[in-house]
Amino acid sequence: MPNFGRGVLVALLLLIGAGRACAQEVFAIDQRFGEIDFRVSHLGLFDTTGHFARFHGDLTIDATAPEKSGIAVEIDAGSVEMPWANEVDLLRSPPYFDVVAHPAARFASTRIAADGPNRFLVAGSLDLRGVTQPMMLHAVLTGRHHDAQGDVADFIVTGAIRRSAFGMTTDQSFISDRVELIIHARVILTAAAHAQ
Amino acid sequence: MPNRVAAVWSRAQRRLHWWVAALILLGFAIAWPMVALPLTELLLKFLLYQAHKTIGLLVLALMLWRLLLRARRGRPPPLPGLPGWQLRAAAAGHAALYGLALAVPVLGYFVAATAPAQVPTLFLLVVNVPHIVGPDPAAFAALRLVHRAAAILLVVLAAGHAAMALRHHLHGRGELRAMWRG
Ligand code: HEM
Ligand code: HEM
Repeated sequence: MPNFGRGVLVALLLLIGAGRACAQEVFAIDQRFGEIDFRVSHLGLFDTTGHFARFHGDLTIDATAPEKSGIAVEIDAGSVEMPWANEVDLLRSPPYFDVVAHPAARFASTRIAADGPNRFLVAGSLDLRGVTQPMMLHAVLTGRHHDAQGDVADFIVTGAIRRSAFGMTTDQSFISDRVELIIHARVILTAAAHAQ
Repeated sequence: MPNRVAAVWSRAQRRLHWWVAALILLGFAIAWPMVALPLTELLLKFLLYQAHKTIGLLVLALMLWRLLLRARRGRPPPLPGLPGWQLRAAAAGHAALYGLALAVPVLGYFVAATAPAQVPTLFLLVVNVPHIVGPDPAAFAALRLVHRAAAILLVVLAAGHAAMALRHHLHGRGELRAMWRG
């Protein structure tokens, strides 16, 4: 299945500078400027936000073979944090992220479509706690600039999952099943590696 | 506090005294299991915290009301027969009880407001009491110790105060009866 619709490929080629992406290029998602936050609701009364401190990912663009293009992100599940006392041990434990058995969570895109100017719909699959489920993300390009790392593009990516779909059914009385994801990602447009 | 002299404790003063005493003891009793409860019992933990904060805020409101009545109406004169040093000790003890019963809930409010986990304070589980300061781990660490120490001091002092009241009662004096029935 081609990962990118034609329009998206054109948009991304414009983003990185059309002349450069003649073959496959891999762009790193810079964790130092990124953030993967998740938010749950408690009894509909208030929310709590947690985040993952460590993750890495790539955006691959292949102008000649669009089906090889896509986004892949790996998250260190053990780096989960929440602003509660003693929460880290709880979140790492088997009823939650079960990080000993499943140290990494992975997202891989299956299809990316344009959704308006600077907006993208990213369909993919999320592998969490050993369960793989389809997942849809909305990405918005919020800014581009040039800094010490070269050209960078900032995205805000949002989506939601039901945690029970991944077998995380604990404490449904107090923690909502729906988990919202809010991801701030910075893609370094200076190609990190040339695969071919 | 202006020392106006009333004939007897008013009914409101008596009721407030005993309601505040009961609520302080209840809030104090809830505090320990609420903090000790593991995060695996989140719903219960949350409900105990909200109960604790609701009770504490009620204590604050009732204490302010009491203070107002005390300033407006005053208190009955001390029953005769006690040496001056005992009257002065009792007055100092009562002032300390007033001060602590006001300070402990105020400190508790700031504990809740500065806590890193931004759990709202929901009076009676429905009225969101805004936090005028935000999370601050260093302030939280200090405030929770001060709040706890002040609460323990309050309860110890109240126990001593109750012991004196019972002692006087057993010696046939009328203070306890006056606070109970007017
Ligand atoms: C009569 C009034 C109150 C009394 C006697 C009281 C007593 C206590 C005690 C003894 C503790 C320590 C428990 C422990 O460390 O195991 C505590 C903790 C706490 N109190 Fe209060 N409190 C009162 C009012 C309030 C109020 C009005 C609030 C907030 C609006 C409040 C918020 C808290 C919080 C958030 C903690 C937990 C701190 C932590 O997680 O370690 N308290 N209280
Ligand atoms: C947390 C619990 C308590 C607090 C904070 C408290 C506080 C006070 C205060 C501030 C006063 C002085 C009132 C004024 O001068 O306006 C007072 C008076 C009094 N309290 Fe308490 N009290 C508590 C518990 C008790 C208990 C358990 C008893 C009895 C067993 C008791 C018996 C009395 C009596 C008899 C008086 C009148 C004393 C007098 O005539 O000078 N109190 N209390």
